[in-house]
Amino acid sequence: MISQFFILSPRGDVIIRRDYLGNVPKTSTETFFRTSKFYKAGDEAPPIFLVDGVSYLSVKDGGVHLVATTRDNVSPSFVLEFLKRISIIIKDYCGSISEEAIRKNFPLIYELLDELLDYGLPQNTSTEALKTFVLNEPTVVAPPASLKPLFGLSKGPTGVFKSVLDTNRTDGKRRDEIYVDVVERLAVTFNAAGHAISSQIDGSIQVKSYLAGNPPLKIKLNDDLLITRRDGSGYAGGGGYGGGSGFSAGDYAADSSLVILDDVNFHEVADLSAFDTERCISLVPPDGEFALANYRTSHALRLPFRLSIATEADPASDHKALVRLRLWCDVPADKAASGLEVELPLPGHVARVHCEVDAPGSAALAGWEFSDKTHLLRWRFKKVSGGMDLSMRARLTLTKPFGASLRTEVGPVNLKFTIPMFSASRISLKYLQIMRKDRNYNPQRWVRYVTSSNSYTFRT
Amino acid sequence: MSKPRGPTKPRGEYAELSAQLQGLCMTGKRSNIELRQAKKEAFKKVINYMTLGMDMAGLFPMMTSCANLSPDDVVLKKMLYLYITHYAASTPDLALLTINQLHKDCQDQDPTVRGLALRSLCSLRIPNLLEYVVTPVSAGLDDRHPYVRRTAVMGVLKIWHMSPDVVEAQGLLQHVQQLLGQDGDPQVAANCLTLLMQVQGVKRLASNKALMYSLINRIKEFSDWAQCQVLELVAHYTPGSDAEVYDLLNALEDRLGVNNSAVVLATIKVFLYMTLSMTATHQQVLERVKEQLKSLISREDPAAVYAVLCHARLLVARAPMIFEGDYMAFYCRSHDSWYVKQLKMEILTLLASASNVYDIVGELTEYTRDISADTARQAVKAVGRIALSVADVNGIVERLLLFLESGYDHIVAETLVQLKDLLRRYPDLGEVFSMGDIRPSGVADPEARAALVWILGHFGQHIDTAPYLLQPLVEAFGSEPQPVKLALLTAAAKLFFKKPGESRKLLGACLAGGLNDSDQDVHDRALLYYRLLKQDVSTAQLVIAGDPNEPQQAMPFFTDELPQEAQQAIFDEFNTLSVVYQQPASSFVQSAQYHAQHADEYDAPGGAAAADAPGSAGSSGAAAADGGDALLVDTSTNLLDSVQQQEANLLDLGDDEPSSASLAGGAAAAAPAAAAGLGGLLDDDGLGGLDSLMGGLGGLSGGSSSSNGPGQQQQQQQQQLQLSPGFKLMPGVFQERWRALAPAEQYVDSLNMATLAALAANDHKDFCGHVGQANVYTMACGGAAPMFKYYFYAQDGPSQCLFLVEMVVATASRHATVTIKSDAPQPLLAQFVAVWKTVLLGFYR
Repeated sequence: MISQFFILSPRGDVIIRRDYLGNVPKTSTETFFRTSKFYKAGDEAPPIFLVDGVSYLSVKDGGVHLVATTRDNVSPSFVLEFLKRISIIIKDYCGSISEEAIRKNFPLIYELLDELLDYGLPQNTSTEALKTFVLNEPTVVAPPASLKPLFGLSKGPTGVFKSVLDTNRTDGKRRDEIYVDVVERLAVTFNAAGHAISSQIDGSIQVKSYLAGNPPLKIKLNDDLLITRRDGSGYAGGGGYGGGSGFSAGDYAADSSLVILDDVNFHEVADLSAFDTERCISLVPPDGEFALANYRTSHALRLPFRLSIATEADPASDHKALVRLRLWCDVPADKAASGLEVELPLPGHVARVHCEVDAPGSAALAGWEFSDKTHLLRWRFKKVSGGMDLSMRARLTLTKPFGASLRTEVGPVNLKFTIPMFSASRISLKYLQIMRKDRNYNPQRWVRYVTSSNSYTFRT
Repeated sequence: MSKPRGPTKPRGEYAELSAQLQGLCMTGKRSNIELRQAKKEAFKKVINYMTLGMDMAGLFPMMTSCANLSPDDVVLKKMLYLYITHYAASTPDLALLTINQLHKDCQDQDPTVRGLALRSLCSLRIPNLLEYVVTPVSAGLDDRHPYVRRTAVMGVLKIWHMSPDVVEAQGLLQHVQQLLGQDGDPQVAANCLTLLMQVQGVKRLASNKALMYSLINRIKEFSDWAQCQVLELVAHYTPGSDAEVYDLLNALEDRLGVNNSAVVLATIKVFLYMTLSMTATHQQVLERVKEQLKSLISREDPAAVYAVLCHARLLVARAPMIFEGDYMAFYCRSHDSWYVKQLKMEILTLLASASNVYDIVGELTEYTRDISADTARQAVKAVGRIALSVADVNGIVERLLLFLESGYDHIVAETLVQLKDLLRRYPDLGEVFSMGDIRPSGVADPEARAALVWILGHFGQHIDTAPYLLQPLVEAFGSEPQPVKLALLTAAAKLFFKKPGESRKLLGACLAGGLNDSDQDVHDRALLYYRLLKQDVSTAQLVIAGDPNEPQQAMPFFTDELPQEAQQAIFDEFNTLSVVYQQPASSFVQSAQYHAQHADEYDAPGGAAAADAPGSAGSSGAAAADGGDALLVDTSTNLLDSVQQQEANLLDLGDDEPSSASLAGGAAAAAPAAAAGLGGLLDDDGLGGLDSLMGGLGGLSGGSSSSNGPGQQQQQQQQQLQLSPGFKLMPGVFQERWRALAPAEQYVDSLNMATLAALAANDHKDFCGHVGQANVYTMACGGAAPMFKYYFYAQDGPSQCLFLVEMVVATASRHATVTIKSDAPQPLLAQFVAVWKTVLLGFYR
């Protein structure tokens, strides 16, 4: 099982260290840091590696490494999921995870670890149940600006960086609130003709509950939601293995009014008795952050951006070329993408680049840059509202005369963005009810959506 | 903690803390609340320094009394216990002082305090104190609060690891077994299960059908981690009938749909293992599991995705047909980490088939434009591998050839490497493709240059300019890296057979360069070619380039593909690290004893085994997990030693005689190495009879009647003492003789730093190999600073006398203490001591 657990700062300092089995040398912290730092010419190390018979499994979160060492042939998923769980618990108790948060709260974290792991074996890992055993007061730390978990969304009215222990307060400062975030990550690839050849959303409904007394909740999703695996196959009955394969999503694809999900996993707490008929999920939310559901779909997405790209020779000089990009933002006009980045790799024989941008006033161009080393040209925009149409021109100076092959050597174009209050799958929460019969009880409810790019690529 | 940190500070901080804590032991003028606050702050500092790895053990008395004076403050207590368990092992006497307090706390009113005390008590890790631990643990198992019970169960496991006998004698196991059946608290039951799985073995526990079913029935009560344990247990169960299998699958079906990938993989393991003999159901399971894997690998968390992808790779390799249609799921995302991309490309390579190869290769071609050169090369490699495995090869080869024109060095380089393999697989291609204008002198990557050189040599008949392309490389022969030199030798020789006129000079220059080369392999290959050619040119051609009258043979497969048996061995360890490393557990798991710092307490030879457990993992491969005094010896180490000994001999000779004048002398010894070098070549050409050829060569050039290794020469000088080569001694015998014999010779040597480093180098194997040359063999070796320990033995052939040697090296003082024990008469002993000292002198730097 787990021999040691430690947390390392980005510079390799040990912030937390516990040794459970004593069969791994004490120098393992340095071994880990050295190995991961110099793994492969500057690339980060994989989450699992082996040095001298000791396996190092690590998860990186908030800039710090959470590491477990072992000599046993453990289940890698088991250890990595457990490390992830530890990082979530730290977030629940300290408000966020970062070097500062851990340094300020290290007695609390040792206290938590005491309950989480005994002799290298996971014990009690529910945020809820751990409260009984925790006596240290948390020092809540908001994450540094560079590590915002929800893509800048967290700047919201209250800031969600608080400890679950706050719900135990009786001094009147307590504020009951619940956050439900629908987070979607888009992976789309367009071919050279501008058609999406593959598209997928990986979504998650994240719940963060700070409700004292844990009242039950009821969440209703779209009525026009269809889950192919769940609604299609006949597992639910006692028929069991050997049943029919169900129908395929293709049957529905034509009807674009439906929101079709390929696969959904629900958290254990979800009571789905009313889900198949009413799309209602009942639950008693445990304290802290958890994923109520993870889903995946490749159907009828709303793609937020389209792009066209053209590379032409410059009639004035055969050592120059012009790349024109045009980008349309197809989200509703009241939504806007933040932190848009357009990345364009250029071939090695491009020596210099000069860029011009035509954009309506509010889509302030934050800047552009060209790296000689990686030959990557990058435009950055602060805010791009729905319906906008951006034109970018890049004048390239080449070290050899222009050739037709340049057209295929420019690209593919990669987009990075975050769109708050937009869900590409059109999934939505119709209501969020807190089932407590008390007129005066009206906690804050925050329902937020965010779509971000996981991989948004235009091939050329 | 905003104070400056770092290793330069401890002295001042330590003294300050010590004084501070001492002051806090008295109430003084402060109020109770102030005092507590001050104590907390001081304790925090101590814990912080402890975390940084500074030695705070000296504060033990102050810490204890400080906390004992505020017995009702649980926060202080927790910090104190954390501190105690950290240092108890290194200061057992002081730990004894805290036992009383811990005992008292084990009877506290508050269950959290009871549990805390019990956990800390069991974590002291001091075998001598076990007697104080057993009673509270036993009582804890019957505690009315589940928190204490579950802590007590873990306590039993801790005791078991220190002393299984105590657990046995106290009947603790039966107690735990009862709890597993009866306890209502899922975590208590889960801990019982974990304990029994470790103590009794999974197999035995899994045969208890009633127990397993009761666990499955309440599986949803358990935490995710405990569910994994239950599922692991189920995976080892053998169902009685197909109907039972269906029941189990249906009962566990919903575990596949949970969010935690650890539970999903554990369930997949159950499903796959259960249905192994039911082909149709097995396929159905794979189909079902496939969807789940696809969901898991699109998660946001790269670490968990990585672990799942490793398992997907294994399943895809086993059943590519099932995944054939889902290749899109394994396409890379632009933000994926390189290790995720690499795995995905490996998977794409595995599932490429006639039906999807066009799409996959098209997608991979896009990846060759990746900004990371490594990823781009990986993509080229994937295309090359697909070209090797999928029959419809033409379109793909054209893709590969297109990469040659990409203009990017890293892509061209990787393409050349792939092309070389491809041409070996499909020799006919050599006649149709053109190399374009790529010159070997323009290829920077050594591996790629070697590949291109090989291609030019092998297909020289189709490439008119081949000799002239190689010319610049041969001119700078000495500055080329080793693989290129080897490739050049072979290519020049092959070209010589194809175009003798143009290539004669080239070959001459190559051989001259090779013979003068300081690299052993290059030197040997050059020498081999030289002698072959001198002897008989047509035989040489047969050996080097194959029979010119026969069509070129195609390589049916390449060794870097994981063979079936290896894959099966890994599948048998599904959901473990084996799948990640692609090796069976036996090749990487090196158990080490828990809490090995107590090694010094054991007897001398046994101590060595334990002492090297934490440090030199390599040599402790055979060490039993909990056998405290098991000597780590297995026959393979000895085998290894003798191989190393041979190599060492060869290298010595090679280094001594670089000039071509003494080539003949070196040749005899060098021959086996050349054969080894040629082993690599063998797959290029189908050639036989090499062994007999080598034999002839050895006899011809050696000049002396027998092939003398230095070890034997040494023996001949020692007229009476004849150490038996390859002698083996059982560890038990060693131990027994070591105890029985009195020291016959003892002395201390001073070592310099370089020697010290050389001793520890390569896990001490270099040193042991060196000693092995004199037929003195290693019983055990290893250890980390501050102490290395070695045990050697040897036997005098004629008299059957034993010599046992212990060498203890203290790294701090750089002294080696050697003790020799023997039952041999004095003259023999003196000779042995002389041999031993010579051997050591030969190693000292």
